[in-house]
Amino acid sequence: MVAKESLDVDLLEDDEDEMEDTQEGKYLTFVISNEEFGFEIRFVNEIIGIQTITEVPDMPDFVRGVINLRGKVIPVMDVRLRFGLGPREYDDRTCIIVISVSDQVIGLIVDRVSEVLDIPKGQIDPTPDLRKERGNRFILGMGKVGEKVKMLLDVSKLLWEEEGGMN
Amino acid sequence: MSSDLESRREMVVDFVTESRELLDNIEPQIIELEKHAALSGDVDDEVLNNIFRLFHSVKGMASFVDLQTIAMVTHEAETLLDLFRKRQMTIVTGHVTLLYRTCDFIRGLIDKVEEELTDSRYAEDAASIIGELKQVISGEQRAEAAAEAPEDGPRGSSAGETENTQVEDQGTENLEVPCEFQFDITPEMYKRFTDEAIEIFEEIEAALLELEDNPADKECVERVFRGFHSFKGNAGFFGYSQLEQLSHQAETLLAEIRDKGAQVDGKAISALLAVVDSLREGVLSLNAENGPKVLNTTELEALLREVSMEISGNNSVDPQVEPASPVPESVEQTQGSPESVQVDSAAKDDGLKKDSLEKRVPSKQTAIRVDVDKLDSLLDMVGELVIAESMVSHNPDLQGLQLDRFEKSVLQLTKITRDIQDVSMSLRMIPLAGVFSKMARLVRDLSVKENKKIELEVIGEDTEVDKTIIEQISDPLVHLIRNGADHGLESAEERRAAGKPETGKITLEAKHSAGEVWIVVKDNGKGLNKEKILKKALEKGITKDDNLKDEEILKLIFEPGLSTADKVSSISGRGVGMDVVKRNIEKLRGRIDIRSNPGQGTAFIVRIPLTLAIIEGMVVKVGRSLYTIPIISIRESFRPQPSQITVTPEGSEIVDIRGELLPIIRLHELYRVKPYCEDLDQGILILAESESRKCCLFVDELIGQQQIVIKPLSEYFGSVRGVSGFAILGGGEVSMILDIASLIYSVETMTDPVRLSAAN
Repeated sequence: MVAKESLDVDLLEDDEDEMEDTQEGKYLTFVISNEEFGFEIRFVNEIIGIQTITEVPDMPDFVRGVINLRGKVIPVMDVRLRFGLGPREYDDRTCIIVISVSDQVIGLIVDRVSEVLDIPKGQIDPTPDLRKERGNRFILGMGKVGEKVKMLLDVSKLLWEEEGGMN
Repeated sequence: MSSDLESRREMVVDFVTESRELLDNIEPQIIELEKHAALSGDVDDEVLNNIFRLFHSVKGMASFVDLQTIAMVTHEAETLLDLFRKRQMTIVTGHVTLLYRTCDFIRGLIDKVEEELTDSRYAEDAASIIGELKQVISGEQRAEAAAEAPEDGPRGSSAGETENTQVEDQGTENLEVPCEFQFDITPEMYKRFTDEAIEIFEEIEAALLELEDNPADKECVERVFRGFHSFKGNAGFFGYSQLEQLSHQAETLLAEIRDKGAQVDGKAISALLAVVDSLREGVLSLNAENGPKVLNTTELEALLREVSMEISGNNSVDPQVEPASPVPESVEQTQGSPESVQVDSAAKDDGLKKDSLEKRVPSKQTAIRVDVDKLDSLLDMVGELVIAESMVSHNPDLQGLQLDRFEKSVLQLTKITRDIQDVSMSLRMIPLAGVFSKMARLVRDLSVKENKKIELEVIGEDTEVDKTIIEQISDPLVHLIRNGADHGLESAEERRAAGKPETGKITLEAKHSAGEVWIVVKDNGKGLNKEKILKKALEKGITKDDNLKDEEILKLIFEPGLSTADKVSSISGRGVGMDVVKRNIEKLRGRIDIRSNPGQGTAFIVRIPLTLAIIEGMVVKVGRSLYTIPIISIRESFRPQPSQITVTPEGSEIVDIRGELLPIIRLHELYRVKPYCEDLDQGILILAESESRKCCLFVDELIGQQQIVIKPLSEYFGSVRGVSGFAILGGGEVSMILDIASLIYSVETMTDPVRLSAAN
């Protein structure tokens, strides 16, 4: 009896800790080309369905243009193209994840959005040091959830790392 | 407990805001006092009373909020002013400077109080300025007791006469005011100087390291140059002559590198990095008691000279550059006497200025303080409202429907929305008076530093502009005025020889005109020498064309690296300021024009659009893309006849409009979109003009005219050719707003095999 009570108390404390770090360790996961990726939810403002994109000239191919988000004009990036994968026709499951990084708001086009997962640090392995090609250089680490592996992305690198392109 | 803290914080915030306003009002009044005294040897009672009242108010508020240090300092200032009021003392330059310093000191304290909610830590710092004030006060009272008749005494003569020289000296001794007239430097100012310096050094280092990897990169050279230049300016302002001198040497070396297009080697980079290190050490060693300790100056200077020799193959650094003498100190010391005479004005103008100054005395307006964030938030929402209203009134669902009553209501809605828009825009409008009054002090300081008599005339300071403009316009104006004082206005002898009044005049004028605010800085000096400018520009390779129109020649002074100043002084002449001025103005979507007449003077006309966020635009369609062209850039639109079109051998298309031949820009080619029609006579040509450049844009069709809320180009894009921003249209679509001048420029500089226009 006593043991059980103390056990319960322990569990309670853990819950409180987690509640305090509201967004730490939580990742929004999505699918690109049947692979699962994710990044920290603290960057995410909202998720919307795909909508009309207005093209902007002189941009790298992965910057598709801009959209009108309730009166704000924000740039959108096709993550597939950013990873060097072939384009895919947008369907009704294609989403735009609107993120905010360093005061800049950008939309990321992904095939499908999955779910928000808790991935504690202990479950994240460093990227096996393979060729730093295309998509690989955006990966922060490999998050293990159950039997699956989600590739966790570095949002800043995703937005700004050059391949002879932007900013 | 915490609610006490909260209410104290609130009281302190109120105090801070109000006292800052009061201090802003005191300074121009002090200038006015000085001028009047210089003219008539007497004090203007009304002005004096104003100043007294202002100090008194600050004192009262400070006491109320338990800020005793501030209260004590203001009390002494009050006492001093009282002496003037009772005619127990004649006001001279030393007093004015002391009063300024007192204001600066109080400002510094206020800044501290804003953070700390108390001023008790600064009693010691305050002791020094209180001491000075007390000395002046008691010194006079002692001298008064000692002197027999006022005429014999040291204070007798009116400041307008030249015997003031000895008066000033004797007065100085009696008053025991420190001879150097350097202002009191508050801990706040140190911190700012240090912080800025550190930032500048970081930037210089970064640029130097980049330069090492790319020795031919001119942009890096510019950055390093600008860094040293900025730091030099700051150091000079504080009177740190060693720091100033060292940065001046570095700057000179950079100028040489830039002008000769030399490639820098490791040795030069190391030398410059060593200079940065030394400067940094000096800055970090600064504290309230000691000036900066700069080590190794002689070795560094020798090193810099070596590098310079290697670069130029000559034996000396550019002989025309004056070593930066510690100008502030020596000037202020020797100029102690003529000051009160110089900063005067012709008697007849005095009346004018008094009037304009009187308007600046704090008038009893019913005003309410609003948090800027709330205001911005309101304006954002108004912008959204305009878009939403547009989306309703131009809704595609309504096309072709006959809805009379609905349309009437929509018209009403549109009208009200426009009104809300106008009013809310005006909420952010602030009169330029605040910015202009800072210039008064600048001109006074310049007048002393340049040893020229300069008068500042201010017209239209009640003109209101948006808050953003107020924040950004100050620096460019300061630079233009400095230029006018330094290069524009001649010395007293030169002016006399030319038959001009000895006192040079700088005029600052502001007015609204056609949706823009015009700010004019003009001087009645010697004007710009067009031949010299053209010559320098050709020499430096800035232009190859020697057949330029006058306006174009004058515009050359905005190119970096161009300065026709024969001697480079520590204020200006380096050729780095005007391009920054132009850029800052362009950031506000404004432009700057120059008019100049040799012997008569120069005028800089700055024009800035009043409404930063909303323009009238014509929406056009090219294929599936929509573009918006600002109405002010459109002259006309038409469908051309095949007979009007000529195609040159290179493939450029030209259209003949009533005898005028203009180039055609095919937007679909520029932006690589697929148009509906490719034949010119099936689409529309729009005659667009910007900055005296004209062209015809070829589009598929015109959609219509709309009020457009400008959405800025997202930083993520960097710059896009010919596009200045985005607009959200009635149906929710996004269109790109074209910038005609930049468009024409892009087309000219494109190297792709797109049909370009040859006739420009």
